[in-house]
Amino acid sequence: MRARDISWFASPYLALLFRLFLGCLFLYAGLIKIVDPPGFAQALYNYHILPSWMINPLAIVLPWVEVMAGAGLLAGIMIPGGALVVTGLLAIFAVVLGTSLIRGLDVACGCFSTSAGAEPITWLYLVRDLALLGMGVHILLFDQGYASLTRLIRTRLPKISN
Amino acid sequence: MALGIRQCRGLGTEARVKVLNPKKNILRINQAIWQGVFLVCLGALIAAGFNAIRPQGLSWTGEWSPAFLAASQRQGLEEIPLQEAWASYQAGKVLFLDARDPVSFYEGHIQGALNVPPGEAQNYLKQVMARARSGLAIIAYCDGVDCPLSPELARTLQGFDIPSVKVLVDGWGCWLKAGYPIEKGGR
Repeated sequence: MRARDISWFASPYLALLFRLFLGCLFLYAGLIKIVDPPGFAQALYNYHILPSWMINPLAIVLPWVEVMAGAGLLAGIMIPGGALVVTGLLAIFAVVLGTSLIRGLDVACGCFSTSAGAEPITWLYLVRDLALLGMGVHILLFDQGYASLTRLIRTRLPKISN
Repeated sequence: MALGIRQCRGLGTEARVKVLNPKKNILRINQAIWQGVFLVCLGALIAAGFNAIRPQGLSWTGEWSPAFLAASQRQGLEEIPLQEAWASYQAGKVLFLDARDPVSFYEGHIQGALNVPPGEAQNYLKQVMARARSGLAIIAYCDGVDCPLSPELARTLQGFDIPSVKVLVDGWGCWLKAGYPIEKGGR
């Protein structure tokens, strides 16, 4: 493939689009879980993949990590870090979803809803997760901090102080 | 001429794609790792603080034993002790609903019980409603302390306004152990 053919793909504007999308998504996913910690803990337990002692600590911490990474991406603060966290989380979710589907578990995703009565996971959930993972990697590789607070501070602050 | 423009465009994109420069990428990954660790730590710190002050905060060492889970599944449902269920059974004032799968039901169930897996509850609504209205207590049971089927069935039936649905916890196990009458065979 010639460089010209992938130029649109490597575009920092595409990275910006992915960044804002993933930022909103993770912020939303985190907030939904913060509202209902017992529901999220139950969703984690239902996967039968974690040791019992890890469920509650993870149910407390994970939503806030999602919110931090999501807010970072959305506002454009610590973009590489936020993208790495989001990508790492999505990679872990992919492994969990994949193994659960192979094991034939009939569990609710717990991704954007903490209700155990939500529809059970399907292979489409894994495809969606991998698509999001691709966006995360794209941000990590191609984002140049367009429309970010970091850039705003760097470019505007010296002018203000002068 | 056209070729020249194409070449120029080609050069332009190559310049833009230079972000892939390995040295720069290593710096970027290093930065990403440090920032990522910071974000995770900050998230954990805020999570701990928020969890400590919120009224419905989770305990860090939550219990996820089967018995505890079963209790949370039955929250808001009326449970009936085995002795009471037995007394109602002797007085002929009870309809047992076996929430297990048909195969388990076939292999053995409480005498006179009706096999109603939660997913099929709607098919039995009329039958159950008629018996409930005639004054029978409706008792759902399944096998095991942490079995979710009977609470699920009870909740479904309550959702259809069937009165006095109760759950006999570990119904099949307790009934069998107590040596009360059972029968085998299909529905």
